[in-house]
Amino acid sequence: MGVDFNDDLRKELGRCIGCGACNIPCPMFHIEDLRETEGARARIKLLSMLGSGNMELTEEFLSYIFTCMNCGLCSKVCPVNIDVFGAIISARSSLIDMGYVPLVTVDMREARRSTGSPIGDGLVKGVWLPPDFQPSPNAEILYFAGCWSHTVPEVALASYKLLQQISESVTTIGFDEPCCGGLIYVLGERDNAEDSKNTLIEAISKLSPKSVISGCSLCTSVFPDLGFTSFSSFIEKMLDEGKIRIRKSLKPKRNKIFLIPSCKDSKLASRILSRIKNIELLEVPEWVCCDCGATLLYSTDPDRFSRWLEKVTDIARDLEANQIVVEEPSCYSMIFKMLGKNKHKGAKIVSFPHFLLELIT
Amino acid sequence: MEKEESVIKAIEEIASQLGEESVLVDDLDRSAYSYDASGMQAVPSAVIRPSTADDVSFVVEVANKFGIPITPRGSGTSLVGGPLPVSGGFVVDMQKMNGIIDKDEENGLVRVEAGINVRELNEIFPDRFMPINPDGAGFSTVGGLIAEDSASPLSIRYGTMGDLLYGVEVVLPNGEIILVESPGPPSRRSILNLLVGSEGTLGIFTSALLRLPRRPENRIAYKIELTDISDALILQEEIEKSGIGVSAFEVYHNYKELVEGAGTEAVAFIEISGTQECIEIWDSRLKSILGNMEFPFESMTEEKADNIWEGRKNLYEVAKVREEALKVVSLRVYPSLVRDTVQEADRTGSRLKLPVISVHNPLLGWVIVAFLYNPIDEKEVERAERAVSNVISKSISLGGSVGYGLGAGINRITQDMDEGFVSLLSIIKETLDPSWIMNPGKLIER
Ligand SMILES: Cc1cc2nc3c(=O)[nH]c(=O)nc-3n(C[C@H](O)[C@H](O)[C@H](O)COP(=O)(O)OP(=O)(O)OC[C@H]3O[C@@H](n4cnc5c(N)ncnc54)[C@H](O)[C@@H]3O)c2cc1C
Ligand code: SF4
Ligand code: SF4
Repeated sequence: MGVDFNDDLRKELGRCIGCGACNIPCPMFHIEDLRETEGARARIKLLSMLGSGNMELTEEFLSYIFTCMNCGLCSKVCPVNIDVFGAIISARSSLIDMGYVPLVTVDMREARRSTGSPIGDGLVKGVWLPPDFQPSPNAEILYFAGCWSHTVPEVALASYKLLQQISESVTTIGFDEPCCGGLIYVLGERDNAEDSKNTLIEAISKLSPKSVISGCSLCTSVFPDLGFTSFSSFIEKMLDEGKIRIRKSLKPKRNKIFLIPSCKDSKLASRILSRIKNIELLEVPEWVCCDCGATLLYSTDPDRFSRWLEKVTDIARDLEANQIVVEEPSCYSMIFKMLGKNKHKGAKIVSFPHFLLELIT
Repeated sequence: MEKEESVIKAIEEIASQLGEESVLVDDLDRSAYSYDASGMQAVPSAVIRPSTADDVSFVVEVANKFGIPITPRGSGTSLVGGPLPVSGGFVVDMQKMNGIIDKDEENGLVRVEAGINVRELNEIFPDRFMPINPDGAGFSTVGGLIAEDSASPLSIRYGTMGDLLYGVEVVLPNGEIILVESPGPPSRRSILNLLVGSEGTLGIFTSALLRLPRRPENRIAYKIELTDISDALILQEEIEKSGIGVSAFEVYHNYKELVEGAGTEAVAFIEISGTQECIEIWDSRLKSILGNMEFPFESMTEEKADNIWEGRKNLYEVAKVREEALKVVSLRVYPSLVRDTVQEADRTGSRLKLPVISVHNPLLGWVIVAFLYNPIDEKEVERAERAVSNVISKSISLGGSVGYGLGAGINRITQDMDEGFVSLLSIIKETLDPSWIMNPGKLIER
């Protein structure tokens, strides 16, 4: 199968000097024991070979290009300023436009058609809300939970309650909250992603809230034009302004915290946590982060997601962590579902909103 | 691709000893080990990922038995095609061997496996560091650094990789595992130095004993605008005369024009480092030299100073700003020839219509020339290749040598360039590796 990438993409791929800097933060590279093939550099190099006709497009190649943690960390380090993740996304969408839809994303299309969300798994939204819940218009804060939050009702509820500590006027879309489209965007489905986003914009504009706080950081980073604020950055701002305060401190035997941050800003949650008295925040390797972008790996290659989880929790265990705090609800949900429990290797696994709520109230 | 029977048999033997997961044969994996940072390519028949020196020894023995070439590979950051299997055969990926074996804090010594990278070395001691960080990101491995005798902008003060090396364990081309290390600090370096810079042609390093220097307390970096390259040579003389111990000194030729569109012909970056007292003295001396010569400059400390040397940010800044690819060549010439070499690079660039930036280190006589080209314009790619060969042959005729720091790699050393070296190395090679299975096609030709 031959492919025809546009000149801009071919040039961007061809500019790669092959220095390997983007392998360093790439979680796939670390999951696979530093196997070159899995790192970000190989993805750029092999796509470049594909674009110049030096590689065959096989089904295996296709699923390889579509399957990673979608963390975007590779884009932050390139010495010649290649937007590595952006180039991977462009290649994915060009391949889809050329009719090469990988089998690994077919299920997601189906899930989106039947449940309105690509994450599938018989998702039912709003189970954390009272059955007669109605969204209120003109609220000060609209909490956009994001698909995955609905699968862990206690996390969605904790986030909602935290926001209610800040303002009396908080609402949410509820049972028919549309998906933002961020995940399918990074998987190359530009048009469908745009449709999703527009449906969401419509749902929100009907409620005309003053601000939207998003429980999913992928939505805010993929679509900055939505004007959403991520949950964590909002919490940081509120702490700065003194609208909320961390009142409690951690018990001595529970204060070694290993944070699995969001991939979009890996420092944000740790800045928030470092305000907690007597916390011991453990140092986490730069390749450790997780958000909704991991969905495809989790759903189509669970063995590898599980390897990621084992590697990360091994590090936490070696550092003698008492608690593993997971910033993103999506990631918390994937981990919880995979383990079937919230204790692993001697550490308790807690979601960030839940962890904060306990310390703030 | 149909694999030869001997290759299939060798793969089976290795897989049964090391485990299936340590032998990669599918197309994606083989392609992923077909490149480095040179822009060249060669696809291996298989990739082997050993975990111990015994694994490496076993692989080498099997390869020898079947006469299959093997190419050691660290992180694949080589700019000269060093880890590319140009004669086919197996690539041996050393990155899984990345442990710390033991350390001696008092003497700053550390014994590490050869696949550990610079980043990890920097985390071993709180007050010591790895001054050779060639790729800037800290991705290069100890094995690669020894094999290339890598250099960095800080080489003026700390030397090249060979100067930090106190001992090495190597698997010879016959599979024998040898430890080259004195009980005390190395006093007879000649044999150790034979292995340093051998570019993977004499054996595979499995571990090394290194001595890491202390991190200097303070550092100041200066960015100085020079009218032309002769200014750099005058500046170098003044610095040498005044006894200022600079730890780094590089001059970027054509930098301002390529990055900012116009400006002075050359920009120099200098660093001094040490205790507060010594820095204060050198700082005032340097400032008075710069003032007397009327060179505009700015000085920076801490993070800003560190940034300058990391990955030669300035060199890659050019590729970044111009959104073009780079082809790089590294030369070493006597200081009196630096100017001619840089001018030769400029001439080559203008003849072949390629923008060129040269970085030179006046104290070491080290010149790195980088040509910028559009990677999707085949003619330009070809011209960039030609430009590199042209600069190499011109520099040789002027009296320069190739491969300082980066290594010689594929087709870069020829008989007429370094006759004695080639003859001696060939004899050693024949003795150690009579079938020439160890990284053939690099450094020297059979
Ligand atoms: C942006 C950039 C800038 C650079 N700047 C510099 C610079 O300033 N100075 C400099 O010196 N280099 C520079 N380099 C080149 C490169 O970083 C060095 O050559 C580095 O030492 C290679 O290390 P590696 O682990 O990536 O080795 P590789 O690239 O994998 O291999 C390099 C060579 O070492 C051999 N080798 C690797 N491991 C072993 C082993 N265990 N035993 C035996 N042989 C082995 C290989 O066969 C090959 O010949 C730069 C590279 C980049 C990408
Ligand atoms: S997005 Fe993340 S997982 Fe994917 S290639 Fe980049 S760094 Fe690796
Ligand atoms: S960091 Fe940039 S130049 Fe280096 S390998 Fe990755 S994409 Fe290529």
